[in-house]
Amino acid sequence: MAEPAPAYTVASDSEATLEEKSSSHLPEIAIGIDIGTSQCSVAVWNGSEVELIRNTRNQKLMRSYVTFKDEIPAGGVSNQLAHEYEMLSGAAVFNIKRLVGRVDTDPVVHASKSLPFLVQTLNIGVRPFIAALVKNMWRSTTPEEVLAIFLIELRTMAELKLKRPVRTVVLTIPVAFSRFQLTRIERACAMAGLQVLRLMPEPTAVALLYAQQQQQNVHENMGSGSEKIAVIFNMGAGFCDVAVSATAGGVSQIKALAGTALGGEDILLNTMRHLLPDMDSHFSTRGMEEITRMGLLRVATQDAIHKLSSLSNVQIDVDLGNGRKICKVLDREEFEEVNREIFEKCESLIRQCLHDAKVDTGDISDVILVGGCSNIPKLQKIVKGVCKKDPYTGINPLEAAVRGAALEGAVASGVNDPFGSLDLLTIQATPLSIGVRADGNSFIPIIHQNTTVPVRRDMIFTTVHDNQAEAMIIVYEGDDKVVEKNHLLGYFKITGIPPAPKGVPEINVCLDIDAANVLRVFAGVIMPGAQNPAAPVMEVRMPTVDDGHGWCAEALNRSYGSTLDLVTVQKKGAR
Amino acid sequence: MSVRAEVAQLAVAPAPDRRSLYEVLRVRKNASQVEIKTAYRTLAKLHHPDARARFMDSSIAASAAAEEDGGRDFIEIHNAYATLSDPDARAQYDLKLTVGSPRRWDSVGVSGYRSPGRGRFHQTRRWETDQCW
Repeated sequence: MAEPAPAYTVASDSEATLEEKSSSHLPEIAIGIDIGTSQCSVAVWNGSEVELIRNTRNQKLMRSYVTFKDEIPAGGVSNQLAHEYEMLSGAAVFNIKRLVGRVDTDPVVHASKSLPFLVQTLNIGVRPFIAALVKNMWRSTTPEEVLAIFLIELRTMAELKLKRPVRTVVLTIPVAFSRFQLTRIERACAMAGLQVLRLMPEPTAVALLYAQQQQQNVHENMGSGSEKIAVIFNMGAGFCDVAVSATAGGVSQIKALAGTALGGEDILLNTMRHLLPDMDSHFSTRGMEEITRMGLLRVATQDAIHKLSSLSNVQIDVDLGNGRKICKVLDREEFEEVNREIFEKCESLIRQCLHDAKVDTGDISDVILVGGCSNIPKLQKIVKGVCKKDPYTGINPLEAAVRGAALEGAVASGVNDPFGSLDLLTIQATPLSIGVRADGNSFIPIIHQNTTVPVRRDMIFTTVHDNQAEAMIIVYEGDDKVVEKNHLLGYFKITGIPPAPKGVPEINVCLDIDAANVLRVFAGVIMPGAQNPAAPVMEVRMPTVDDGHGWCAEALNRSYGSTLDLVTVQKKGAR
Repeated sequence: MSVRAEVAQLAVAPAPDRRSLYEVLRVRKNASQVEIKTAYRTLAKLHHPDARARFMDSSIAASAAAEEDGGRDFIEIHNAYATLSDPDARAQYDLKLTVGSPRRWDSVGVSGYRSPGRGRFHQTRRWETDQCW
């Protein structure tokens, strides 16, 4: 590992001893951090309840951006924006959660190209080039760097308030994140000197908060204590997530998860394009003038969307210079029509999640609507329409995820509460299936979507050629039958398969996910009748791939073709 | 039979210590669905690696931590619950119990191996290799 840059090393000797002293009595309570596409917040269990930490300007929710205009980059935690337009000057990098761990062929990256900072794509499956405008120069950065700068600010803020070093965190993440994206988040945390205790899908954090509230109701004899099915719909600026949980006795069991990279940002871009159909060509040159005008349009559109949550129509006036002006009344029906596809996708996501959880609408106890988009009337209508229930009102939609993360932080840190407020547990499930490539070019799931974790599952495969001495284990995550459409997690070779006709050696592939969501793949060969494996068993922690997944898979195919293939073994009684 | 069913059957295969699923969940053979759910939650709170963190200093921890199994108990409990909470799977299992099922595929495979370094849950994430590059 390379020596970290000075800016990222914060741990000194004196701090280390302080930490040791405190940890000998009490475990360090992990803080909860929610880095949203648009806003972020920090919360911690203060000994009796969850408390949101405020910055020096007394804000609980801070804008997620980093500005590079000075020598030292500054984020939205410490920095004070003179005006909204400053964020749109090209010097600030934001919406980073949408870009982290994505390659330049990804449609989400392409959608980010109309942002004021530079997102350059070459469409070859590598990470996009991202840069901020500093003194009329494009200064390059990476999503991990931006996240790390931001995390350092959040951490400093928390340390100042808590008067102790902060080392461990529970971070909320979108359901749609791949395991590769999770490693990017962990890398950013490591750069900021933070150890990840848990990466928690946002709606599951909300589910935990709900479980705590239900538990309190039972204690106060207000609730029945029976099992409650909750549907959590979370839509922020960048992502839309759904979870179905079954809650009783403080245990929140996640029955199903569904998510996609669709959020307020997409609604905003659609609406901007509706107001200015030739927007992309208009801003293609990306000079100072264009960036300023794009900022004007963005702010005006954002403002209009907010107003449409309470008004039925809104007047939009934007002067784009060169005699171009937008003067228009946008009404709610038109806005909903413009974003119809997004709303339809949200609806199908909820239906899919209910289906996967095997829950009928009649079984639903509560519907919880959270996230920055939760006050859009159309979304409220959709959720109510699908679930046949009015939304739950006991949870602050903007603070729910971070509060849940702080609860999980306290629970997973081993904190006890004398009043039983932390007598809680989240039983997580896998949002995506994990499996291997076999039977030609098929994806064979071993751990299926929505399986409870921790989990260990195995399957037996065999060779496709006579005397095949080696076999390739290629691990993917996803739910598409076509293997390439899933996320490649890694690959390795099993060697030393004893000479035998095809179909004879048993190649056992075992996937293990522990409570901290670490995935391990074990693989070994056993010859029929033997008690022990023919060669040492492999244990591989995944993901092992770095950038350029698509390239890896193509190169593997080109170099090895079907020589190292596997097929599934159909056991007796099957079929 | 689908791949999913295959995996499900493997999960149902008797545990090495030959306890019945009812014994794993500590319920009677005629337990109701509500009793099974309650038993599952109660046991999850004791044996889930997250919940176990809380008992680290107590006597329960001594026995739980000594097992150093990285959540094996919980997986066993969950597998028992998955079968017994599904009426069809439970009926099938009950039938197998009475008939006496032959040993399915013997788990001499990798599932039997115990991975090293899988101690208490919070040690399973290693700072250097898990989080760095």
